[in-house]
Amino acid sequence: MRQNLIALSGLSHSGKDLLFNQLLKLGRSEPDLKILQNVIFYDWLNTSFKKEDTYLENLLPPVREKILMKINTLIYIHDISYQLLDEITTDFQRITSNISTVNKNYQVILLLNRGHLIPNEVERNKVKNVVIQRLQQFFPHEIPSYIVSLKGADEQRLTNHIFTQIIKKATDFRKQHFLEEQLKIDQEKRHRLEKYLTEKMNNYGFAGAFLLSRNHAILLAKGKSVHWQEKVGPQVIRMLDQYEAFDVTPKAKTNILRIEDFLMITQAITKSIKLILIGIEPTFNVESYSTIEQKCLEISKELISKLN
Amino acid sequence: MSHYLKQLKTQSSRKIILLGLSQAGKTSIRDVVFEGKAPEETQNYAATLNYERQIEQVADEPITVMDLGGQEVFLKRFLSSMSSFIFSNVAVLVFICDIATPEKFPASLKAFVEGVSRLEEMSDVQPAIYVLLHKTDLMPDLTQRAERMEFLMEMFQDVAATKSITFLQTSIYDNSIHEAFKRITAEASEVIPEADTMEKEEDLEAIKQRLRLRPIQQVLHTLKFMNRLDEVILISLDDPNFKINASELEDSEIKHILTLLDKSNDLRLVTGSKSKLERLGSVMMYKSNIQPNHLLILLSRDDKSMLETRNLQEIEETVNLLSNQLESMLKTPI
Repeated sequence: MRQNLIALSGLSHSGKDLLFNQLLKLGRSEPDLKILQNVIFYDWLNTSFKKEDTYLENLLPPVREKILMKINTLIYIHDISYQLLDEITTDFQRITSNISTVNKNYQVILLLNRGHLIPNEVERNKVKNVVIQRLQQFFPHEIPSYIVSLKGADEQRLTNHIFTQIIKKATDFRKQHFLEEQLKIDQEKRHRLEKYLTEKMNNYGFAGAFLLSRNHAILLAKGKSVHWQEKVGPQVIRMLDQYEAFDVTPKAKTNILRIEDFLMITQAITKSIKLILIGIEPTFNVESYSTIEQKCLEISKELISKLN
Repeated sequence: MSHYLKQLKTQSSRKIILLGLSQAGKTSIRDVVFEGKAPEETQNYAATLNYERQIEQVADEPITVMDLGGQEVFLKRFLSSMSSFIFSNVAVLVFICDIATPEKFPASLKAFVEGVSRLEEMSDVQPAIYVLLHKTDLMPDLTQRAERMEFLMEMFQDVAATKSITFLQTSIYDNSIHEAFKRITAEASEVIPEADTMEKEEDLEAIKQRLRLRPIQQVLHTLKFMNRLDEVILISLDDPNFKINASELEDSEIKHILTLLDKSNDLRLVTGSKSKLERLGSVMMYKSNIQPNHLLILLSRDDKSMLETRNLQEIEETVNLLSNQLESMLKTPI
């Protein structure tokens, strides 16, 4: 899972639209920061569509979830002169709980907007501390904060500088949070799992079956041949992982992915383990995708019982 | 002023004509679509004598629906002595082909060729041509049906190689016939733009662009109907403003969903691969590269859609067949 997105949010009238535009402007002038690719306006996720009963209704929830999973930084904007503490608390709670259902690894950065309205440093700090205290009720981690303003060329330059810093912070966060996870599977259990996977792989005509950890390291590999198990399969997985092919969201429990003649099925078995089945398409000619999916669900259920 | 605009201005009344062999189902279609009759009521219809004519109101514009008797004797008359009366001022020619009677395919093709050439002679606008591959309910086997559709599409396109034909699968027993006529009537009312807007020079480019994009859009609609999809979108990977789709969703909604798909990294193909199929929740998404640097996206949520039930290689064949057409259309400058 590549967590590359920075989401921008805040109450209405907090000035988030103008700040978002400023961020896009910066992105256009500094393409190396990859702002245009990696920044998302949180409100986009909540848009409702005018025409009901369209495919969009079905498509939106899994896409929204996938985007929430990819967020590594939430920039929350608050107008420094507002006293709407209860409102921002509720809004912030809603957003963080939405993200947290699928994503536990992200940071929050608070931007106090319209800084020019309170020039006094002591006053500013007072507001900042109160707001952070409120937000920390729902996000009990450190919340870095910055005071920004777009009123005047100097303020805009300073805001751009802060944005650049935040983008770098997001990149650093991305680097450090991928801690290696090790799944402990004892020898006997491993043997049982391998036997089961081999049997299912042969039954359904797959060429390889793999278990991946949360950070997509291969925990267990079985292939129709040693070459497939040790070379081809892992190579395909590593290559496709760069394209985020195995990012399965809870709403899309199984992902069926077909590239050229290869068919790959990703199934989230537990929160941290994924099952990948790889086969060559003609093998499945007679089966509909939902039948294949059903088979995978059965394999997953069995795997869970074997893992426990 | 462009050649097209001159043509468009001469047109004053619009006409949709329904053409097809006897027993193809023309009168039933007319009665189900425009009269609101139940499909079962039309089961025992006698052959249409001569022709019936009626005026329909579509978006406040009158459209003449002519249901031509399919009996050979009438067909001959329509295609000879009465052709100027029948084929002038036609906005849309709808040719109905009963897919369940292969023995009639040669005669059907002949009537189609005759009809199209009369249309060419008599009509002073460039009418749209639709071929309804009708009575799909009589071929429940999807694979068999798809094979026949592909065969017929090729045959019809071969005999009218220079024409852009839109093929739609229809049956009066499901919504497909209403969907098809929604498009056909929309197309008929679109043939003539408002006179005052036509005169505006600043609109010329937009009209030219629309005329250029229309055949592309027709190909997308064909893909959508052939594979029972919810949506087909063609986007340019170079120009963010280039986007054509085959549903009736608002432009802003399509743009919005494309932005989200871009952010979720679902608009990306693995380098070197031509296509990718994936599932997002209950929606299947198939993507294919179209040269030069375009992406074709097929979306479907329906479990019965071709993306779900059919072997993908068959879909790919349809996509490839139409991709070549799309590629040459995209390469043609305005």
